[in-house]
Amino acid sequence: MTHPYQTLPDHAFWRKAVSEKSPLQLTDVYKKKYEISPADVIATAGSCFAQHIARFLVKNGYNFHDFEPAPPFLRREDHSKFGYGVFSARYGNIYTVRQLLQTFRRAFDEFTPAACHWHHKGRYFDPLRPAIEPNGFASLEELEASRRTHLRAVRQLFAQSNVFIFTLGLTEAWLSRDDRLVFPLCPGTVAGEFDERKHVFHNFTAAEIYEDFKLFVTSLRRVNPDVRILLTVSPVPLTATASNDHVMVASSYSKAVLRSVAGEFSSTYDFIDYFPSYELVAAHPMRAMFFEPNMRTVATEGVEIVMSHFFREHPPQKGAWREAKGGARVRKEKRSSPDEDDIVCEEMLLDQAL
Amino acid sequence: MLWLFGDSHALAFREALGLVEKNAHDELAEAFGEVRAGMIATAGALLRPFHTKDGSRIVFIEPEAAQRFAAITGSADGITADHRGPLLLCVGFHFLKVMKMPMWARFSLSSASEKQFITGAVFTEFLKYHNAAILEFAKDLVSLGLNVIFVESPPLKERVKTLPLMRMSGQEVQEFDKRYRRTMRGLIHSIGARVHACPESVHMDGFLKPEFETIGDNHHANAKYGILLWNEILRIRNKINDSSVALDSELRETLNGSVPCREHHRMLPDGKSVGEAGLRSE
Repeated sequence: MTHPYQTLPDHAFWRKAVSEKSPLQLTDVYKKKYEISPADVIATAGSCFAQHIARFLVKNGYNFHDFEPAPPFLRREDHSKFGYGVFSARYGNIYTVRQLLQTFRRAFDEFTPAACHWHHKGRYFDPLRPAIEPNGFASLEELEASRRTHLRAVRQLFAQSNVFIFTLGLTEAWLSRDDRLVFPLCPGTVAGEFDERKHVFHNFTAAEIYEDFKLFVTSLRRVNPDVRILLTVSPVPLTATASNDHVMVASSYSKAVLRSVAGEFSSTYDFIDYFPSYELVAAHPMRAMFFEPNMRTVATEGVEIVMSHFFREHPPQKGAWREAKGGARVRKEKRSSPDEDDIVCEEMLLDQAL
Repeated sequence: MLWLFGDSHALAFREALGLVEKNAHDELAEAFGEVRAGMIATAGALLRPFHTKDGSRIVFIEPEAAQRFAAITGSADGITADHRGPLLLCVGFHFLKVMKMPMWARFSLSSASEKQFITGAVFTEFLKYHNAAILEFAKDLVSLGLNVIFVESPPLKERVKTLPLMRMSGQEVQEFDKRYRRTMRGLIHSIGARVHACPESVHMDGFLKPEFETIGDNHHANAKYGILLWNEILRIRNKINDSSVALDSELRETLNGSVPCREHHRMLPDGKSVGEAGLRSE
């Protein structure tokens, strides 16, 4: 008498796949769902960890595209300070799926928030990109011009990318009571002023995140029918929680919910893949060895190990070529990518705000 | 003693010195003592480190600049802390090459443009880096307690809008000029130096009046412009000589077409404007 487990590969068994292996020698943790060619235009968004992915994609010859690049005259070391080259557009960290959906809707004029700026000591801040200009904008006109440029780039990004990589980061967010606008960071931490009459905490449930992401995917495919999506869950725990739970418990909830939603989408849609960066860093067989002593920051070595799993499935492209307009094949130009030191994690500002 | 030196924009001043009436020379001498002016290096050469501070002395490490500076001022020892009189620097405002960068096909400083907008803070970062050698030089001069005044370059000529390599619209050209000057003024003030802006009387619709143009040249003004500026300097001699007095009142928002140009009539001691009568060659 036979049963299904008899024919399963080694990676299906904990003992063979995990117990009897060094965590540094795990195999088959990730199996790609679709090919990513060197010609595919790749865009990234999400939490801090997405920046590592962008960096490694560039390093390995993939066509990570920056739709809102830094002006060429700006020094490389000044890019990340102004949010350039960190993701495929200058949106800063997009921690929640609601924020992602909101970004899409703003770019396509489906949603215009009521709270459009914060003013502090003569400078203006964009509540939806509070850290993008470290000292704020000089004027409201400048803020609005920057926002117009940004949303135009975001429209292009969503319409033209072949692969959209999104790293799910948080379930917790602060919303405007008026129009349910979701802020990337709690008002008052980096900029703005917290007002409990105006701002409310919300911890998104799996069902809410599922609905938001479904709406995002439907909207995205409407403007870009062939786009493929690669989801990851950030292994980086919360800097702080407003949920009243212990921060470790809150992190656990957050990651479990996000992992669950990612899993549901990747198992439902053939154009949505899931890359297990969360498991490769945070699962207990990894013994937390890739975390820095603060048990939060992922060490460079850890990122390298994680990404080596990705590139086993999507081999590095050497001397990659890309399709130019008109079908011509041109040598890929040297493009910039975030350096290790440039990783921007706005959520960490919560610590500094205390 | 007044020394004016810098990039090619200093040539108009140098040439003008040879053309101003004797009484203007006398007045300059009375106001400042010995007056020397000239170009020490190209604007490009001055974007690279060109000096070093050796105790209480600034020396030029760029050989051509060192040689030319010595020839202009007679000082082979560079600039020392015991130098008396203002140091007028014609540097930091030579920006036509920046305007011709291919990047302006995609980027813009103008909020009205459909191109990718660059904020003032990002532009400031660029200028800090681009003009680092110049700002460091001025900072070192200021640290010696010297009276340092930057002299802005003349307004652009209207034809730069149509230069083959110009990727900016007319409006962007004006916006760039305005932003560049405003940003540099801020950076210069932040290191304790002062700025002398070009007078409104040389503007026409935001560009250099044709009478001050150098024929066949897209950026530099002529000796007539230099003479006008020498007289402007004479007019405000007390402020020029007193480094504790802000020149801010002299700073005008250049290239703001909406501001009517104001002619400066008191140019020469005889009451004639230089544009009218000051040029020997005319």
